Amino acid sequence: METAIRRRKAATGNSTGSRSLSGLMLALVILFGMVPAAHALPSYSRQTGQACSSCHVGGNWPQLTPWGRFFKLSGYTAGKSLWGGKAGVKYVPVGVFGQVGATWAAQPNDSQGNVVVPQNGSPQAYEFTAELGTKLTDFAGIFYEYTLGNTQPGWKGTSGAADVRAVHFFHVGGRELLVGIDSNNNPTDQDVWNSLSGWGYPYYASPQSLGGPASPMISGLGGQAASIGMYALLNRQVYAEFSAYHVANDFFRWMSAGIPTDTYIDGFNPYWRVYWTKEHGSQTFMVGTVGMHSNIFPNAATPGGPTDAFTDYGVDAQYDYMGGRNKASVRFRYIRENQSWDASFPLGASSTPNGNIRSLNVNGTYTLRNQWAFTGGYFANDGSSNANLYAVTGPTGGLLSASPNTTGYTLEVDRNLTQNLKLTAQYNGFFKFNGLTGNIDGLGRTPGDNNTFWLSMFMAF
Amino acid sequence: MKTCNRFSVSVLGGALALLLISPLASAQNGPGTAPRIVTWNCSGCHGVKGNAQQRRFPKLAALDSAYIEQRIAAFQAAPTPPVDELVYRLVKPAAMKKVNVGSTPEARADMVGIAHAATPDEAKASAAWYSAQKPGRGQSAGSALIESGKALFANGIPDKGVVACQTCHGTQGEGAAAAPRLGGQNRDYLAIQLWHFRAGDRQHPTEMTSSTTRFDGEQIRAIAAFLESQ
Repeated sequence: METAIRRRKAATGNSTGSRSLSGLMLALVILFGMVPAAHALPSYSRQTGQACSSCHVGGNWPQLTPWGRFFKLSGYTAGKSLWGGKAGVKYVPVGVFGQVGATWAAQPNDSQGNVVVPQNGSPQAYEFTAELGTKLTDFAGIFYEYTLGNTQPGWKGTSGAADVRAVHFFHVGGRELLVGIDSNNNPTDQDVWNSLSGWGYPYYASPQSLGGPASPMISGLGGQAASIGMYALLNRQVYAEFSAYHVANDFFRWMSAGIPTDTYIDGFNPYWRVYWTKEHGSQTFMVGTVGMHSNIFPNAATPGGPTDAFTDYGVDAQYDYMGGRNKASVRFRYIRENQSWDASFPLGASSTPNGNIRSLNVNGTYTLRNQWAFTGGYFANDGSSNANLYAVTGPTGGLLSASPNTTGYTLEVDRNLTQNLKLTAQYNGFFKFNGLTGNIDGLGRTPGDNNTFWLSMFMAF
Repeated sequence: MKTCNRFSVSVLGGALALLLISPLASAQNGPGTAPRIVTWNCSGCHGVKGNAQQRRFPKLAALDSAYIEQRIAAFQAAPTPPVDELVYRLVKPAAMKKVNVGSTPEARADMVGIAHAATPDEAKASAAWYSAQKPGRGQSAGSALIESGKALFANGIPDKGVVACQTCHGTQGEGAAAAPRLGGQNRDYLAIQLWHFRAGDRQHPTEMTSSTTRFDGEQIRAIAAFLESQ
């Protein structure tokens, strides 16, 4: 289930694409999965007594304000304790939310009448989620989501995003060192910036919209891997983290989006993150680097034997301006992935022994009061050609393309009617699809025919 | 999978060890180290030393401790805003109106709930800490705006009956008895407060209402720019 979520994000240039043997064959989209699990947590608002806009820019989740980043880094510990002794439980540490919407494609059918985007224009209920978010002690906190996703042929429940952490401040020689231990179920979900894929733009996307076939593995393991890691923040300026991801089973099963997974990682896989940030008045700057090495079994159903290896490394940056009435953010992320198909190539599942992916995301948001947010973003997922992984064939069986290169843009307007209710209009467009700027199916379909317009309503209580 | 189990046990052991030593380490905070409430809560917006970078938040450094305690008490006296705003609007509109009285929207969003969670000792400790910090250097905006603000601050608007701000707040905005220090304060915060004094939705002495209702937007910006430059 989580795989569907993350693949969906890949569709809009934001993340993933599983490369297990079965997953690799899925060149286009997973339909009727869930929308990405990226939510403000009403329970944290109950804990802190603060509005959503205290932690989320303009209340437009999941963008974090400087305070929201601090709240997360300090282990979700601000505000009331859950247990008040004789007073009993001080607040309800759970919340619920759901999302409904409708998607319209530029051309829902191909030139021969075959359906490309099903349920075009039809209202859909995507998901209902229960969340637990609370401080556990004065130095530890958790959030955990359990989602009922409207998959075909029916509703199915799985773990959504999960993060638990314990922290402490040390003071050494006039310097402050925040040290934390963290466990989560999606690489980059533990990060506090919206430049990385975990909480990056687009924050939500229609499960019905289309997407390219490739994106880095670092953003493709949501709900299938779980981590343990440690981070340190020096003087609230320099951050360093090291984590190890293991397949989400055994001890980590509670964070899993379902076993067997679509992408089964072998052993413990290192993840690292370093960034530098500086506040200057109402402006905040951040530059950072992130990376991960993962070994993946070629067949998730039979995890054993040789593995394929993926090494991701990248740079990211974010600029925020937080005025009283006007707020703006600009975000950048570039990830390069080197692939070694050590298992898949001998099996004939990859046409080359090595490959790479280069993923670029640039986007920006302007927020007016706590009511409107306008966002635009560009994405480009390029990579080496691979006839076994990315092949697109025409009606006569001829190879049209073996390239994963897909570029496009996402435009979005959000309107927060109240803290509990948000309306979103999103347009997802393509310049290039599967390496082709025209005739992407051999029947005359253009990349623009895959464009989609999505209206949705998000509710949180 | 045995490896995973061994690893998991190690992880759990490490996490528990950190959790156990944390309270001990907290107790060992030495002189010159901020109180826990400051490090873990207040500093997220106001800074450890009380010189908030974000201009919509107030700098607390060198403010009178009694004034800080009084502000915290005012936040604690206000009802916590409901998370389920939509439900309140539909089902309990009267309750929603009650929430919207007596504090600024910014305070309701950011401070009321946090203040409710603070104990009396924590409130005192945070006030004492910030009161003892050195104020940061002022920041300059356009010189014409500052000069205009300086004149307003020093002279008021005599023909409209607005008394000089410096009468209570001191010639450089250094504060006095019942009036808080304003010199070097973030201008966005000051402007927001003046607008809310003017609108009557911040609890305050009557002098502030009578003065601010006679200010226009340009004058509010000028006074805030002058004070930030001090």
